[in-house]
Parts: sequence; C-alpha cells; structure tokens
Amino acid sequence: MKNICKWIGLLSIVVTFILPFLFLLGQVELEAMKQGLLIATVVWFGTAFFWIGSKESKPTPDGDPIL
Amino acid sequence: MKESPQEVSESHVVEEFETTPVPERAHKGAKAFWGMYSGEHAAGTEFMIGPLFLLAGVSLQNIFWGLLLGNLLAVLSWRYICAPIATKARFTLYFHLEKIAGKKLVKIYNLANGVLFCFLAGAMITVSATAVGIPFNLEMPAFDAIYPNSASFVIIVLAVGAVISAVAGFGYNAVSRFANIASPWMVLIFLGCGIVALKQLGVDSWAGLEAVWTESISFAQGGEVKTSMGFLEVVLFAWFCNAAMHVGMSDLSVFRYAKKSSSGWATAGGMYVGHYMAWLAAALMLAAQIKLTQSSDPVPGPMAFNVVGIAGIICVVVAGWTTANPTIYRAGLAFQAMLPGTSRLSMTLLAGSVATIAAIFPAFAFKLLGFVGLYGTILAPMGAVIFADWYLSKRIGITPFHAEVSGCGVNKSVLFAWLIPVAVSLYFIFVQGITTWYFVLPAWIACGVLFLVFSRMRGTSSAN
Repeated sequence: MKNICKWIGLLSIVVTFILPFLFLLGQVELEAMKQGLLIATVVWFGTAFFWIGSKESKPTPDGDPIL
Repeated sequence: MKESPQEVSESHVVEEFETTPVPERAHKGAKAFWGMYSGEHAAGTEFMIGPLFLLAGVSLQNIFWGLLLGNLLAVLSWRYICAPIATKARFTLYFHLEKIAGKKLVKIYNLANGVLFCFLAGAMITVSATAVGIPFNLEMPAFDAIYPNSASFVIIVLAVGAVISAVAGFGYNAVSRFANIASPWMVLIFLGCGIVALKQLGVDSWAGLEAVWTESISFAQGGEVKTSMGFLEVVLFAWFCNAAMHVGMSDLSVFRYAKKSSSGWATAGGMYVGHYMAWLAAALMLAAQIKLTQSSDPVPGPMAFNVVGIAGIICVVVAGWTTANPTIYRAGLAFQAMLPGTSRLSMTLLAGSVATIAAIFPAFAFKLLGFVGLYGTILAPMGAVIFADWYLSKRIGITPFHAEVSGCGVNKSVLFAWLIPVAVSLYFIFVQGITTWYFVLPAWIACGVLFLVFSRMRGTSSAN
C-alpha cells in the first residue's frame, strides 16, 4: 500500500512538473492544464500522507521563520 | 517553514541539545540540509516579494543579475560566517548568545524576535486570506492600502488568523508534517506559475520580455518608469533578507547538526529555488496579470489563480499557512520566556492574536521589502557579537563567553554594542526615510567593533 501510494504520488508530482511546460509548448489548453494541476494536487496530498514523515516528531523552535 | 535536520531526516532523536553541544551521533550529512533549504525557502512571502520588485520599477536585467549575486553573497555568508562557528561550537543561537551576553539580555533579544515574528506572521496571514477570499468574491485591497478595504476582508483575515493561531497552539506537529509533504509540490507550483505567466505574456525572446516588463512597470506606475531599486539595492536586498539567519547566526541552531561546515553550501538550494526562481515566477505572474486584467495590485491569491487555477489558490493558502504556523509558535515561545509561569498555549494564542491584528492591515504585507530589511537591521547585529567573540576576543585580550565566566545577567558591552548601531539605523530609516537594507551590514560591523571596544574598555574579569 505504502509503495503504491509512493509511486502514484511521484507520478502526480511529475505531472505537476510537466503540465506547465506542455502549456508553454502549446500542447494543452490553459483550462485543461489548470484542471490537470488540480487533480495532480489532490493525488499528491492524498497519497503523500501515507509515505512522507509518518513518524511523530517533536516541535523544535530552532532558527527564524523562513522568508 | 523550518525544522532542524533531526526532523527533516525523520530520525528517532528526541533530544534537542538546547544546552549541550550536539554530539557526534546526532550529526547529519549535507543531504539533509540540501533537502531542507531547497523545499522550505519557497514560502508564502515569496508570492509578495517578487511582484514588489516590479512595482518598485526594477529593470529585468537588475533582477536577474542582482538576485544572482545577492543570493550568492547570502550563501557565502552562511557557508563562511555561520556554518564554521556552528560546526565547532554546536550550540543553538540562544545558548551561544547567553554565554556571551547573559540570560536577561538574551530574553530581551528574544522578545524583539517575538514581536518581529508576529508582524511577519501577519503578512503571511494576509497572503493566505487573499486566496481564501477568492471563492467569496472578496474585493482585494489596493497596493497603497494601509487599512482594510471592507468588513469582509477583516472577517476573512480574522477567520484565517484564528485557524492558524489555534493550529500553532494545538497542532504544531501535524502542520510541521504537512509542510514537509507540501514543500516539493509548492516548489513545482511556483515553477509552473512562472512558466504559465511567461506564456501568457506572449514573448519569445529576451528583448520581448524586457519590453513587456517595462510596459508593466509603466502601467503600474501610471505611465512613468521610475525605479526605487537599482542593481545595488537588489543585491543588498537578496543578500540581507535572511540576514538574521546567516550573519545574524540564527542558523547556528540548524548547522550545529552538520558534520562539516561545507553543509553551508546547501543554502544555495533555498536561495536559488525560493529567492531566485520563486521571486522571478511571482514577478512574472504580476506582469501577466497586468497584461490580462489591467490590475497591478500584487495580491497573491488572484495572481496565482489567473495562472494555474485552483491549485494556485491552494498553494497560496498552504504557503502562507505553513510558514505562519511556526512563526507564531516561535513568537509564543519568545513571549513565554519573557513571562515565566505562563503557558505555551496561552502565549502562542497571544502571538497569534497580535499577528492576526497586524494582518488586518494590508500595508504590512505590501511593505514587506522594507520590513524585511528592518528585521535584519534589528536582529542581525547580534550575530556580529558571536562572530567577534569567537574569532577575535582572545587575540585582543578579552575573555570569550564573558557572561558565562562572570555570571552576569546582562553583559553591558553587548547591550550597548547592539543598541547603538540599531538606534542610529532606526533614526535614519524612520526619521530620514532611508531604505532599510542599506543598514544591515553597517549595523552588523559597528556592533561587532563596538562589542570588542566596550569589552576591552570595561575589562572582562569582573562581573558586570
């Protein structure tokens, strides 16, 4: 399950990377690209929770906020 | 958002080594730092900073080259000023400073940190609110707005601020994990925003891009092309926008885990992803918005929606939320340190309330360039004290870690070395109206020199 989620998640991140380039090259329309990005976003968040940082970690107040 | 490499690498280490040097078993390789900096410098504020360059009339050439050089100088500052001390002393900033400046003075410094954090978090809440407001057809505040433009804007800001503050108080760990998950996706959405904006601008050459860029500046400035930032200003801004972290030594807390000081190069990942690619992408988004909608208001939510749709709105909300959350959390800790006996939760909620009230005024977000310089001017000089104490004190006959040796609560040499350059800088900034980022380096140098002079004059053998 974890492995499947990982591969689906990685695929969605690849799609997130590629879609804007396809739009730049005129291969997809703006609206289709936006819908594709939304789907890839949902898939990424839906799957990443199962394999990224599942271990509990303590809050650390190190450093300053990132700008 | 930033965690120590402990969290980034998902290790089982639970000790935070707040008052002891980080032991060898907890040291991390450079890889952990590359991952952390690359992902986490693409934050909510990037959506504001990029467009503000366009509105300041910065030429395209100055942005490309100025940011390239300024970010390089920032990386070198991390690598050669912060990381070497961090990997030798292996203390947090606060513990290291406590040994030199004294516990009470560190609390005052911590309070200054906390107050500034609240305003930064406020800007991030404003950024998130601009995206949350889109489904409600919220009328966005104009660029020159100081006060909120509608009751709806206030209500949305209050709602976003309340959620962020509550989560910072109750669910820090969950957001910390969520931020780790979101960061690779956010970086790609930033990149996508830039690519799509480029296409929407309809340019196919550098000359074409320059022409569109100049037209956008002209439109935003009502037909003129004036610039308040030249090449030098862009370099200084890029160099010092994280001054509190590199020359200000805040990232001692991060690099104390590094096996070698060469891990300082990892900050290049953050600078050239977050402070180069993301700023350029956000600036191009505003240029595209001007072309398509004739609106030059740098409001992140609508800008991102125009280029990548709902994914853009989600990105703005997530970027603002995941960066405001730890900022409020840290501000709460700073307030708690000042008021012993109070709970962390109540102080986090207090910090969140201050941040939310600040967020109601869009001027804090729209004046972010100046505020970031102010933040560095006030906080970074303390890093010079650490630098001077570490490298120069023995050479000129001063006892290193004076407060620890003498047991004093406030090392007056540090107090005045910090206050004098900061006060002079604030006079020029607020009374003379001079741009903030000119003062970070002079204040840092002056603070280091004054610390050595005062320490030498007062002697270091007696408690002060």
